[in-house]
Amino acid sequence: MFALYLCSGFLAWSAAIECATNGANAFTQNAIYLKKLPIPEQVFVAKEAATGTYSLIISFILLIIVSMFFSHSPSWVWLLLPLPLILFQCFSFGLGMFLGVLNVFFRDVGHSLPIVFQVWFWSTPIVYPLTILPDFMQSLVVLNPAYPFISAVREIFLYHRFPASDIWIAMISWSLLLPLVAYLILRRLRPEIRDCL
Amino acid sequence: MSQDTIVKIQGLGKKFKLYNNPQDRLKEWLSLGFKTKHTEFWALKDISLEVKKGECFGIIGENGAGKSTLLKILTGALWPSTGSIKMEGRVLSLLELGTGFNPELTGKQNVLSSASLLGFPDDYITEEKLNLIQEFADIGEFFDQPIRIYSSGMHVRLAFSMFMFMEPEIFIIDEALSVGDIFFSQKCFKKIHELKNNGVTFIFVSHDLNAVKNLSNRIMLLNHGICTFEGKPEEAVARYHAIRNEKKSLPSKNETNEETQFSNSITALEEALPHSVLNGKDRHGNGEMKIIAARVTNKEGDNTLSASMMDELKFHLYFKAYKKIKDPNFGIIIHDKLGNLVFSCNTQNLRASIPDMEAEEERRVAFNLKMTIGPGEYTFALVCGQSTEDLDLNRGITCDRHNSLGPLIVLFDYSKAVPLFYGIAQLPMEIMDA
Repeated sequence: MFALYLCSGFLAWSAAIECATNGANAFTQNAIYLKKLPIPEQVFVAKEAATGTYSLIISFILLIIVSMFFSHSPSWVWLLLPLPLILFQCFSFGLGMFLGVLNVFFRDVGHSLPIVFQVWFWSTPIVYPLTILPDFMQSLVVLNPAYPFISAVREIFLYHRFPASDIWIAMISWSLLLPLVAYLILRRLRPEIRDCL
Repeated sequence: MSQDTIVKIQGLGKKFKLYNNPQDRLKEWLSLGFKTKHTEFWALKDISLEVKKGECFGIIGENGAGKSTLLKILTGALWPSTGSIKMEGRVLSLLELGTGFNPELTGKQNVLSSASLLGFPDDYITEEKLNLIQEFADIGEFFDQPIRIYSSGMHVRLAFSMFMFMEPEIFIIDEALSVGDIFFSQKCFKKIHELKNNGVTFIFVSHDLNAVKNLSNRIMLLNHGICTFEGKPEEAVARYHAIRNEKKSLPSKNETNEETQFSNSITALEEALPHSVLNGKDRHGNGEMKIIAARVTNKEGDNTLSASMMDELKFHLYFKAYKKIKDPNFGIIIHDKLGNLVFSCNTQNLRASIPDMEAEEERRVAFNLKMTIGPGEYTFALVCGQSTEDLDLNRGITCDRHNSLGPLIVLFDYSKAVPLFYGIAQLPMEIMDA
């Protein structure tokens, strides 16, 4: 059962982080296009998010097949599974776009991301259950934007339960807010981005 | 916007923010606009222009004048800081030449994929068009091979051919006309003329003044981001040279004294000094005699550094001796772009004897040179010297030699007629039996 607990959280996490990391480097890596063609910048981040989501879907289908061998029974609630996953990808699309804009001006951002993400990974209950954390840290987990997505995936996939409403609210607001803010920043700095590439 | 105006630019400016280091940008952001840590650099200032449908508009200027920035703004790759741009119709820019090419795909697949990357609908490239592109590019069977095995020439030819058949309303060309061999560029020129007659609007930038002058109806001259002239091609090119020479003839401090002390005995010298082609950058010699000014004029007597092929240019040299010079000798040396010696000749070669010069004597020599050399850019050197006492006539003492002058531009309009010869220079050729 722990294998399924770990895998369900880890797959969702790694797809999201890959999307954010690639998104952060999307502008600098596609500088040749951005310098010459009037293509909207966010396209390159969206492309990273789309490829990430594609492989996420494949790996979850595999996980479901594997779970059968662990005699994990399927459920109708699983039909809800794409929702938290796609919301998580929306969140990381926004994060990638925000970091991508920063990375154009401060190239160190791209290099320091792996370390920052590593710290974030270990402070999120992915390889361990939330309950082993001390109380004060359990209350802080509300501030971790990745947590609602991962717990929703587990609720649906492992426990066949409909996630609680506060989890839905958190997921929806994070996945709307971040892309919106990132887009506003991008729009504000758009002329300078091309100058600096 | 009147009916046939296709491009309209008003008060366009482009500002770049220059920061000493990235931290300064962060500090500026965090201060929320209370501190400014950047210096402004205006690459373009207050540019206004209108281009009519079917017109050919050229932009010239020195390196760093803002030409490419302007074209990038026109393409939409850069955003202007001030002003507005209005363009009607589809714009295609040769800046984008081959950007979307994927080395793994074949030439044909690349044409199709980059067309959609440029925003053309999927069915835009028909079978018929593909054949035309293949034929124009003239790369034979390689059209169906992955382009990673292409030579760089084939790569550019494919890209250029593709653009030629995309039929945009506005075509932006940046320094891309020097593509392939002369036959391919002639073919391109012919195609450009054809498109122009079909009402396609061209905007282009090139250092190849010959090409710009031939193709454009109007030329804009940019200097440090400011439009200094807009109008007839000939005048624009002439003004362009004026800017270049103005910069070069700025004399160093020592020179100024020497030149102002120069007595006004030769009235023409006063006139010649502002037009002097000397730049004093690369100069050597023993200094017993010096070339003080030199100018180049055409048949009409205008100061110029460009001539049509087969036209005559007159080189005027003003010089002064500081010692008694026996058998003074004056010459010109012309090198091509690649540094090959094209022509070198002096008064001694011509068996002309110039009277000896007394110390402090000033004099003027002028010679006519018929530019029977191939079109292109040349540099020239002006020399004055003295023959030696020893018997070897090919040796001499150089008194003053100015290298790397010019560029001297020889123009020819390939599109209108066949040139009188191909190659570096004309050799006398007669037809004996026909």
